[in-house]
Amino acid sequence: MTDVSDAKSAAAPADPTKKSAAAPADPTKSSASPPMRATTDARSPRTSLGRVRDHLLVPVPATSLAIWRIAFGLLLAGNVLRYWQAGWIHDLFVAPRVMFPHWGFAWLPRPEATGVAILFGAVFVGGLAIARGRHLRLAAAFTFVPFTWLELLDRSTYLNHYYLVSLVLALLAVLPSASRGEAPHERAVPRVTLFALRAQVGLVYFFAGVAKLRADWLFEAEPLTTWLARHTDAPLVGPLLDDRWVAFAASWAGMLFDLSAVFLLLARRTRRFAFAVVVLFHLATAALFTLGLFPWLMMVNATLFFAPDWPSRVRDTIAKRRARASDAPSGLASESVVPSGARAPEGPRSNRVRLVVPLLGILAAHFALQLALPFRQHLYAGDPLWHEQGFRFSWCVMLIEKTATLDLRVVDAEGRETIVHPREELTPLQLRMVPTQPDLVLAYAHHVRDRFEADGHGEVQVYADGFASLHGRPRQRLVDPEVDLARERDGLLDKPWIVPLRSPDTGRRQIAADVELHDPTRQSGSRSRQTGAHHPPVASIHATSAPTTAIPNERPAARSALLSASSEVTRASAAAGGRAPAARP
Amino acid sequence: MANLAIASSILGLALTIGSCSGGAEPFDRAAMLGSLGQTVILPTYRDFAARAGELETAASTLCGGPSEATLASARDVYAATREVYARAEAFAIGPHTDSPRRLSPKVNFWPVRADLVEEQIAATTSIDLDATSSSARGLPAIGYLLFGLDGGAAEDAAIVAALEGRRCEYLRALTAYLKARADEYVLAWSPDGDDFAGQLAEGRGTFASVQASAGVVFEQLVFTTENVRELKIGKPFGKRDGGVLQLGEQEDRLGGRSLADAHANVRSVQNVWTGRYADVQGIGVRDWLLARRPALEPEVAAAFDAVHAAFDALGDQTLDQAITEDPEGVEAVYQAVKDLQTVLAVDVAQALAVTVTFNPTDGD
Repeated sequence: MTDVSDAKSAAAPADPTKKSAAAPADPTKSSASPPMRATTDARSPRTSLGRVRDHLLVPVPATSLAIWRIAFGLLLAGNVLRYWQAGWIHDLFVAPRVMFPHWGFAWLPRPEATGVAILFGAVFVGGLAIARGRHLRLAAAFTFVPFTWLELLDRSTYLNHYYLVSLVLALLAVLPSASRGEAPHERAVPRVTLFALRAQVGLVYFFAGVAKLRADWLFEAEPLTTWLARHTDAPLVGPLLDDRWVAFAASWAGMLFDLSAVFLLLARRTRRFAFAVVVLFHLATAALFTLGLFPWLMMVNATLFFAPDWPSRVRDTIAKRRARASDAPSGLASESVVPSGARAPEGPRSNRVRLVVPLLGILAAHFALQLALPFRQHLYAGDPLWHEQGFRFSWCVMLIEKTATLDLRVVDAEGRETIVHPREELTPLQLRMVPTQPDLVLAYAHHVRDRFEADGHGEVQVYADGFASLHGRPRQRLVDPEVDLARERDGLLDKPWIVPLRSPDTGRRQIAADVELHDPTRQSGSRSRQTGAHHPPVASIHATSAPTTAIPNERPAARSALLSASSEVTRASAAAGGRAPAARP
Repeated sequence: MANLAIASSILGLALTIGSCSGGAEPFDRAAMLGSLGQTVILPTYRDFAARAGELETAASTLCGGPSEATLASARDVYAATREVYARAEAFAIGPHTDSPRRLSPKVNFWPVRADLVEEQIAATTSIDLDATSSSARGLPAIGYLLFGLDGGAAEDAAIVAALEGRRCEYLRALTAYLKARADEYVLAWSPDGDDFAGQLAEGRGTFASVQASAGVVFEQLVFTTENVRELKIGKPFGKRDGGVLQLGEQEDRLGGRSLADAHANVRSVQNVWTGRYADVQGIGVRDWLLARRPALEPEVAAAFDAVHAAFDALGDQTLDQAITEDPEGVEAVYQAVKDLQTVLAVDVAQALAVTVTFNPTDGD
């Protein structure tokens, strides 16, 4: 994850093993700038581990990290202000009558309104402290605790980029920070700090790309087809966003971008271009989707991949251009430029790294876990987009468009049945998340069970009654309505009560089929056959023999509108290719 | 670099193909919203204002000459007023819920608190309905004065006999207040007033964008359907209370229109769905669906038909009667409305790319 070209441009030698223990470039400064702990490792046997360790402990300029740190800290603090201004602190953390802690964190105390305000206040102060940069590790640890606490309180608020923020804060709390006391441009950090942050960001991009290697994304362009269609009123590009090819192009470009971004950013030749693409990509997503902090965070994170002294270089370049513009003698210009860390004859001063082996051990364990977690979703049977087991903490970013309904049917010890509607006590956000995510359905069922039992109903059974649709597929049960969820345990094992996804085809394929069915040139097929074979009326289960409609005038109009509209859709969708309709399960 | 080249090639190819292919024009949601405002929403509120005016007149006639005939006439107008107001439920947004107008609690806060109404009648101060509890004004309070608590012929005679003095003054004030609020609905939606219809169509003011407007309209369809099922049918039916009937938790138990109002609410949803009101056909949400996923439309139509059939099967019974004498029929209504809600909230929401939510928090 470290670009070799960066090391060449940095003051420190690219390979400390080739020079005598990373000796400073200017020996006269050596007494003032004691070499890092790594230099002492030259005494140790030259094992592979030792060489890796030495490589990771080479000091590199800290100026790029300083820029990144300031932006990162300000983003965190600004995000708190955004939450406060939008009222989300109250809506998401104070107002909920019930919260759904992440698995294994039910013990975490839920703070009252004052406590929530204190936690957000701490994140705000912590963000500013990180931006300031003094006592960075302490500031990061101070911010990590309240931020992660808030995130663990409720699974329905889970967002990948908040998980990333927690991870970055944790890394900052353990990684060596920049040396203190020197001028900013002279400060240095061991390469491992930059390496770890780049690796963390790189994993996000890479696994976000891997997560897109799915049939729905690549061959159905879902959910982008659905999402882009929301923006057909946008100026200029709006009409394009309803075209299938745009969704396909965006899906494939997004996948390729995610998979290749980190490598293109690492390679010196492609870095500038890749960064421009990163910026354009995230600006586009920010304009089209409600992503909050995410695009800005990732744009800031992309700067980590530039040479560690890029701010100094930029400053040098600007100063030289100014000097040329004012016709100043070049010598004056060079004197006016503060030497960058990369070019300073004395090289960046290094800080001391204590506990090197434990640190590298922690990082190794961390990244091993980070490499493993995204794959755990495949340990569960079925489509992870549907059952969503192992989906969190896996960088499955912007992959799902699912709608669902849910009632809970509670049967008490005396056989009395009560229908619990989630709207009674869930927040709007929870109301959107809970019915679509089986583990949240289970958690809510357990909450309802506990509530009923506390109210004196004795031991109750709780059944989920709801339907869901993924990427336009026909709706189906998400949770087995015959399973008593009150008796099911929450855990990491496969949940057999999740009904498997039955239709492999998304709604897009069905639209193409619909168009064939509704093509006026094929009117020989009866309407009842079309609807009966494909979409049996949901109400047919409960239909009565009573007269059909109270508004008879509306039905013929519906039919004529149906036929007149279908021809347009035929043209619109024909390019997508018609396929056979999937039978409703 | 190879990846970059591949990506660029694909993107370039796609752009080339796309620029050559030319697609169908996307569905014009702004036109749909504009049509709904002019064809369904404003006409419904104008009808409501007209009915409210008739009710004001009927109340005046009743108080001018109390008799069982004038009482019956006033009750008929009351029922007609409720019917048209219930047909506005599917677009109970904007001035209905939002300050400063927030007309909902001024017009139909239910159930009525008879004790608070009697307090107002017994008071000696001048009547100020703006300062009166929501439980003692609006349609429910008018219903209480016209129907009493117990119903029956003896009650009718007692109601007629009691309609004098302060009681009549309060009834007149209630109907005048209702008419003023109905006029406010019209003013709020019309271009001469707050122009909510224009805001909705153009995605401005209260509505952040056309996309947001369309989302609000669709969500209100789903919400209305859910409200009919859970609150207006399910709650009195005991669905939320272990089968224990909650007959007092009806929208209009005294006037006997709870079931009819619930049915009118579904018709309201259907009016927005079809874009049709009073024989005038405009552009509805159904047309949007037809442009995106036509095969779903018959399923939705069938779901509406099933709901109407279930309601019609209950005949002219009040909800009280239906729950006690025909619980299977009420169950059929409950399930039919639930099915309609399901197809709208799950399938149609997907097809229209509308997220049924009320809180625009972040995502990723």
